[in-house]
Amino acid sequence: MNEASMSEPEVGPLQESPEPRAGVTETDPIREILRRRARELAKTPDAEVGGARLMEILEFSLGPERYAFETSFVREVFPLIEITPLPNVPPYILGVVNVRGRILSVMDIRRLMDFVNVGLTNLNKAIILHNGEMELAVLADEIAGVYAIDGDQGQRALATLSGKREEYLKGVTQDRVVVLDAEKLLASEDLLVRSGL
Amino acid sequence: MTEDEEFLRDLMETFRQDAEEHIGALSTALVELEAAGEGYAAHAPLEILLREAHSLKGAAAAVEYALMVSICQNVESVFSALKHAELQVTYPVVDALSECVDCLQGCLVAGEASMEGRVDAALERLAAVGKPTNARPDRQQTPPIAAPDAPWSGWRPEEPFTDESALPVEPHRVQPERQPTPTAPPAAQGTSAEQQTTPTAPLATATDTIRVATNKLESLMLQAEEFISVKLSAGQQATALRDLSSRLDMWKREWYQTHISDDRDKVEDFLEWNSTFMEGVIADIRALSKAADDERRTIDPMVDDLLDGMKRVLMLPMSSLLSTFPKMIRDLARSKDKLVEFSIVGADVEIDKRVIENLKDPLIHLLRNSVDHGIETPEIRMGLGKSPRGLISVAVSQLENNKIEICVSDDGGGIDVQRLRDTAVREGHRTQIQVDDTDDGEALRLVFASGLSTTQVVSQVSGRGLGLAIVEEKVENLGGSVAIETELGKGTTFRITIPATLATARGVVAQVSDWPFVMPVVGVDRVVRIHRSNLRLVENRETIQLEGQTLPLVYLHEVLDLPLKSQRGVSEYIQAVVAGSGDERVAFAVDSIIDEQEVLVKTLGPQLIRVRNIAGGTIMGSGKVVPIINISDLLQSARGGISSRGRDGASANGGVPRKAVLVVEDSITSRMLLKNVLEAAGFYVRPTVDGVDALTALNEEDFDLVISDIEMPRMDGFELTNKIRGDARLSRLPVMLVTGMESQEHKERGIDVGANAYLTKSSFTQGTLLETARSLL
Repeated sequence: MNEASMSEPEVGPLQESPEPRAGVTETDPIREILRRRARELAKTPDAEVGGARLMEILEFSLGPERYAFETSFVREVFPLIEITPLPNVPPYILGVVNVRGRILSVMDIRRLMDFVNVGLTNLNKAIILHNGEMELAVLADEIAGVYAIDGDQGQRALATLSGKREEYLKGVTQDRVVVLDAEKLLASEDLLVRSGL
Repeated sequence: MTEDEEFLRDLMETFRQDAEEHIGALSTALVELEAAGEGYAAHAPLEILLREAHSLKGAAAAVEYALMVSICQNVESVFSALKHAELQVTYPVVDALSECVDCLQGCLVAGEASMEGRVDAALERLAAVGKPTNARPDRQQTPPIAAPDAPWSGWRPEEPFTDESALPVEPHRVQPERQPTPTAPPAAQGTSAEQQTTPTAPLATATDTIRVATNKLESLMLQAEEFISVKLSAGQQATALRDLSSRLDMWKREWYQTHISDDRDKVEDFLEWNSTFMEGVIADIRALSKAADDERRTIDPMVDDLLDGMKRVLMLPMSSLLSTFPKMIRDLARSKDKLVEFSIVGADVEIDKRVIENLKDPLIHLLRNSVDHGIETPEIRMGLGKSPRGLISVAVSQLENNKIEICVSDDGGGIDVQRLRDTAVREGHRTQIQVDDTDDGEALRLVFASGLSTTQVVSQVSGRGLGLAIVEEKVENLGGSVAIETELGKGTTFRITIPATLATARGVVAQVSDWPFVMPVVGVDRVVRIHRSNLRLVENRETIQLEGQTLPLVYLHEVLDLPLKSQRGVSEYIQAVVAGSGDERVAFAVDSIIDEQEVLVKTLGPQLIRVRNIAGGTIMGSGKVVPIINISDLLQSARGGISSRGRDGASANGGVPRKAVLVVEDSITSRMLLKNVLEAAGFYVRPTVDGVDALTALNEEDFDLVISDIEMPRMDGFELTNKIRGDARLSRLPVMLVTGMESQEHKERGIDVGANAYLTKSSFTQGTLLETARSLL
């Protein structure tokens, strides 16, 4: 069982295991099954053809909607105590906050994607996203949790979403959580503010 | 003398650190040179090498390390030859240079005496390889390595070097002079190298580094390590809380089951279980709360210590700057035939390294002034009954609130204020009337005016009248100030007050539409308070009069596109910040001036590369971020005309006047949100902060709809609606209440007072808002 314990935790659908679970009467076949299973588990999930590509996401709510980011781009979740709005910035920039002595911009992703129903929120958390170069915060109400999903199972996008809205969308999970494309958000030139005179 | 010994020891310590840096830079650059080979790529490292060798030579000369000076001089000539392509970068040359650098290190560590033999050998070797080959180098003519046509890059470490090129040919003839490269006389060498390096020097500047004593870093590391325990205990507490919470869940299940059952026994069982359960929970909560308390007590000093330690890393003792002054004063006094006794007090006070660097020039100026103008010649002093020896002192002391005071005083002649007045008039800085009006203290400030000097003789040292202007500017840039005290015949004291840590800018904190903003003092001319009756309309723009000049008055909230806070029209006076200079000045009206203070300018994060009118942000003591205004943007915005976002602009486009909505909401985010949504839908929006504010607005403008929050300070939404309904002029104005209160009672009360629509924040969407708004219009 050593092999098995070294592999990733058992998350997501297991491989279509051909071995019958019924015939667990004899010792030898059981051992054989376990061994085979261990081998399966020991494989890195990514390498499998047609298998599950696991993706860890952080789900959060914002108004009535539920969104998620891939955790690999999330640096931390920061409690929003005070936010300073800035004049002369695009509407998707809510303002700036003090993150341990550094100033960081906070975005409201709903405005970014032109969602019609921009409700009022409790403004209580910010998710700090980062890649090597860019760092920005995204407004959130509640953090629902972190879990892994099958990266391929999500629909690419809802058919009704188009244009700008689709641009930063990675997909929608079976639970109808909108997975946002943090990588694109961070890399997008359009989101940089360079307002001259 | 122990004091002298101490000084010498300090000096040596400074030199050692300094030299170590130079040697380090030399070694690094040498490696780079080796990699670059020759040509363009070799230019940058050579620049560094030349500069470093030159600086080290200077430093070594100051402490009389003759051997090091000699090595530096020799390598410098070789670097110069390499730079002018009189010599090629070859392995033997680099090798010989590298041996010289090693010798420098040896001299520094082991002392010169023990290194003599090795240095001689190294210099001989350098002399042999470092001889420039005639005039213009020619590849064929100067075979650097065994293989005739092999340039630098052809060399491989395994290849043995042939004796002809690698070994000294005529070592003994060159050795005694220790001047292996007769390209230029040694005296001219330094200057020529310097001249050539200066213009390109910034290109090859080494990165800014700071020297930190290892013990400081070690203590920081220890402090940082302590945080591991915090991390662990935070984890433990989280686990304990989670555990507690799941136990309470269990209790809830039990209770639920008991409470739906009719079984008396079951209830009794529950009660019994409950009492022990609760006791356990209470004990656990107590323990947890105590642990949290303990932890807070532990963390508090840890965080403070770490912060403190980190700041201290950036601090250097003043002695690092002051130690160079005694010699300067001595030399200067001697050249002026004056006798000066120089004393330093408080050299161990620590100041931010960056502040110290910027203090150097001002202090040199002040000290030179003191020697040159302050202290009289011994004859005059004796005549006045003073000691022939003049006293100059620098006293550094730590003030409260993180400030440092540096007093530069002398017991010389003092400043003749009357003469200062006369000079100012004579040279046209002030009129006679202006001067007569000023008291002595104010007149004394004239010494800081550029170009004003009371000495009749302009000497090399000082007297051009620029020094003090520079002193003031530099100190102000550090967020500090300079004061002078002088008594004729007794002496002068310059008192510099600066923040010990870099505060960078001073700023005027002003309130605009509920928001604080910082305006950097550098761009601010003054702050004024104007009575409303003094406003004049010129070409349809409001103006104020200032010293006979007409300045446009612009409302800052308009330039910044902020909602108006309706205190306009209430106060008789307008407070304004006058920015810009000369004829370009503009007065920016603000709600109020809060304070003037030092601010540390920070960027707004990587996403906000440039924001119009905003230069950056600063973090106040409360932790709140306050934007810093970009004054030059602001002036341009103001000159370009205020954004005319009024209702007139729209009617010009569409012909139909826009519907006007009065938004009443105390939460700034909700207010901004409502404003944005409504404006995007084509409404004219006037945001206000509460009922009182709204009533003022209603008196000033006509509106087609009021959208109001309910819970607000001063006057809530119900009362506002009530007032509106009670006013004959406004009674038919539709009112929409938007609120977080969802109870039926509230809704009924809203309808009772006469609201036309009632929207709860939870059901609030852009769609429903606009839909409801349109239905009411």
